[in-house]
Amino acid sequence: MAALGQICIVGAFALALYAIVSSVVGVRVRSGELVASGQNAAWAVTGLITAAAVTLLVAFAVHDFSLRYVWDHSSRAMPMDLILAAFYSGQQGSLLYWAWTLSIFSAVVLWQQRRPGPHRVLMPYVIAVVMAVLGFMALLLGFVASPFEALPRPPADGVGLNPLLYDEGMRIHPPMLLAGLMSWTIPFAFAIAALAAGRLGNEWVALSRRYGMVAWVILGLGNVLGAWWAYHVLGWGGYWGWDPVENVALMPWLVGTAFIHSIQMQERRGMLKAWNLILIMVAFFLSIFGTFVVRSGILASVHAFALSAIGPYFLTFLTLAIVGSLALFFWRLPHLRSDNQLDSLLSREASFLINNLLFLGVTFAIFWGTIYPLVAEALADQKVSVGPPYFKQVAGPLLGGVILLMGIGPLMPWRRASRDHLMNSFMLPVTGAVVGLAVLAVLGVRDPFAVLGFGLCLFVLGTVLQEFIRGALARHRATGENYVLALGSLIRRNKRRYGGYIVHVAMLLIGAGAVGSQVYQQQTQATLAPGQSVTLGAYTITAHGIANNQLPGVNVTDGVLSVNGQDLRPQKQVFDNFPQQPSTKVGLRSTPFEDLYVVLAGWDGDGPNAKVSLAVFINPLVSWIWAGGVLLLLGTLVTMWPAAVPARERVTAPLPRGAVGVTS
Amino acid sequence: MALAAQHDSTRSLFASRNLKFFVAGGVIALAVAYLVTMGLQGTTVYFLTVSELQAKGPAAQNQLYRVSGNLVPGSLIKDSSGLGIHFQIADTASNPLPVVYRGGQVPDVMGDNIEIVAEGKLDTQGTFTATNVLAKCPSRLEDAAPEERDYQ
Repeated sequence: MAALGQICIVGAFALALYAIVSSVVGVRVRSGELVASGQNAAWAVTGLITAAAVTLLVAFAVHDFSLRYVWDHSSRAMPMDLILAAFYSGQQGSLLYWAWTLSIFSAVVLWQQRRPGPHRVLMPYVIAVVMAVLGFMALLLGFVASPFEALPRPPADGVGLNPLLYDEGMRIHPPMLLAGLMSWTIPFAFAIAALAAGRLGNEWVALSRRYGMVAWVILGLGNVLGAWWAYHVLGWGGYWGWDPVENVALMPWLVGTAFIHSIQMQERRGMLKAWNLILIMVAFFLSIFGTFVVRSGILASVHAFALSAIGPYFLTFLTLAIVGSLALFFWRLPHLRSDNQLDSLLSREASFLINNLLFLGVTFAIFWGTIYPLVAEALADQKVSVGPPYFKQVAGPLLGGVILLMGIGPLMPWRRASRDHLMNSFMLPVTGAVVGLAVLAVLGVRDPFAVLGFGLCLFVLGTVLQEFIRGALARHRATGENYVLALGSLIRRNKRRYGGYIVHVAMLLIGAGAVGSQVYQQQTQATLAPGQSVTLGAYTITAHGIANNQLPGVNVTDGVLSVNGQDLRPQKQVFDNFPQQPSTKVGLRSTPFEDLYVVLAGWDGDGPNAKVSLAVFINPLVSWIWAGGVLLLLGTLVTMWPAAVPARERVTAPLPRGAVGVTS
Repeated sequence: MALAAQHDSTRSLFASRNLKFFVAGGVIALAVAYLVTMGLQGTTVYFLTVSELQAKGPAAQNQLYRVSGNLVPGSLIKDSSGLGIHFQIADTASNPLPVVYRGGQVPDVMGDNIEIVAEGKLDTQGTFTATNVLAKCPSRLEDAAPEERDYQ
């Protein structure tokens, strides 16, 4: 089993190198055969990496503990779906997963772009770039960090997974996030291909935009899922800690957001050509950097200067990628002139530009804050830590600016806005926001930060609603359809625009959720004997001791509580293989406007007479963040839904008399 | 000829009509730089070991620090009210530092000799009042081989 997997990886490495040479040489000397051979090699690489991945999955499924990686991350007591999830739980397996998903994505792209067209000249270079990345991963997996390392004697049972990972979050967040990071390789490959081929017009732009949207939504969901997982497992009452590992997964997404906006400016007005190339390069570099940080542990602790074995390889690869990309960029720079000028600050173009600047500003601020401890220690021998207060202070105002822009930008016309247009567009949403804030103030929302945050969200919501309503009304007047149909066909005919509006609303939900939970969180602690209660907000929590259960491989302690009469059981789990690492399962009661979040901090005694120590939180609007995640996916699907292609039908009809070629 | 020259100059990136955009971009860049600098100055917390904190003497009092040390075996005491803990941390070259923590979030991993990072202030009596306590998970060395008991 181990040998098979290893052979597949090494084979993939060799074929990837072949594919690069064959594709690049083939396109330079115009040999169709070499190019086709390179493409076939690419398919074969996908097949080999898939085979290696399946080998590892099978090894997990049949408990083949002769593989060190299987032994280290699974045990017989684990449920099967978690055993399969353990595949990507460790460094080597997650790198294999990353390479596997990239090979599949690239195969899909090859398939989708198989038809003749102006983009075909780019494809050999796209293959070369993707194969370079896959070749690097195969090098790592084959020779440096192999998941197929064998143990001399197979142990009877494995160690099992870290207790913190026994959760639904484990089944979905890592695969989504790792896939989100890898998928930026594809739009990057198209950009490099455009530079290499000298085709700097719109061939690469449309394709990079579409695949960029795919990467963007996957990485976005990966981040939201990570927040959701942290929220209900770690028990500190929050969902985003501005941890280095979180930050490096967010940064490529922020740059990607800038990219998918400014690329539209290139599509429409032929502007920002050089800028977009730099943006997608930075997004890719950050995604590689993110993969490296997330999987090598370098930034997890300020003192961790011992790089894991893969560290130097990643840094070398990243350096080569940066140098190579910039070399290509500067080589082609004379051909990257804008087709148009910026006419006015009050225009769609200017909004996109400011959008870019704000997103890049946030990314820079987060990046600097994340690496500052390393820099300070290296340069000044000073150990510091930079925590959430820095990130909130810096990212808050900039993201507030982004939300404001989300409302203004889409309503700006291209080139120049007139004063009448501005009045017409913004009068209603601004009024609506003011009215909404007044209502909220009456309901008790008066904190300045909350007022500002909610006010911006209300304003943007007003602009989106206005767009939908005005659009539907216009269609109704023009076509006579009833309002519902008008709305439907409006969306269907302008999927990018209205899908984009839906995605913006998803961002508003996430923003409002973040503001609400930051400003209005309440918390308290209490130690309760059976029958005693603690009250927070509208909830009265009464303790009834604990209930202890020994399940296979794990000892579970429930705090038996009743909240306003209903049962709630926060838990602590202690796994037999990890006696020093209990894991927390939060007791969560979610309603549309707030979450009651209870953590069993400790207990004294046993059974129904035990005293329980609780940490209790009320987290308002957190469920809006998860709802925003769902809406994010829906909105993106709307924007990417394929347009209806006119059907072709075979028709036979007699030719009329006198037509050429008809004799009778 | 003159027309072509004029056309060229208006298409250049540095034409005067682009001035307002450079200004707008510059304003945003300055705002970011300001936020970052102010943010780092205001919120950076120095990270010390117990020996380093003790070496600072009285100058270290009432300043926000993060201190790391190992939990002294047997020193972890839970408050009788259940809502706080007292313990001591030390490193190889220091005296034990008494720490008191009254927040609700005691890390799951608290145990003898575990590496603890406490964020808070040293008071005038020499006790460190922590607002935040983190415990570093004892990393299972990825290179550890299966022990004899794993085989049957």
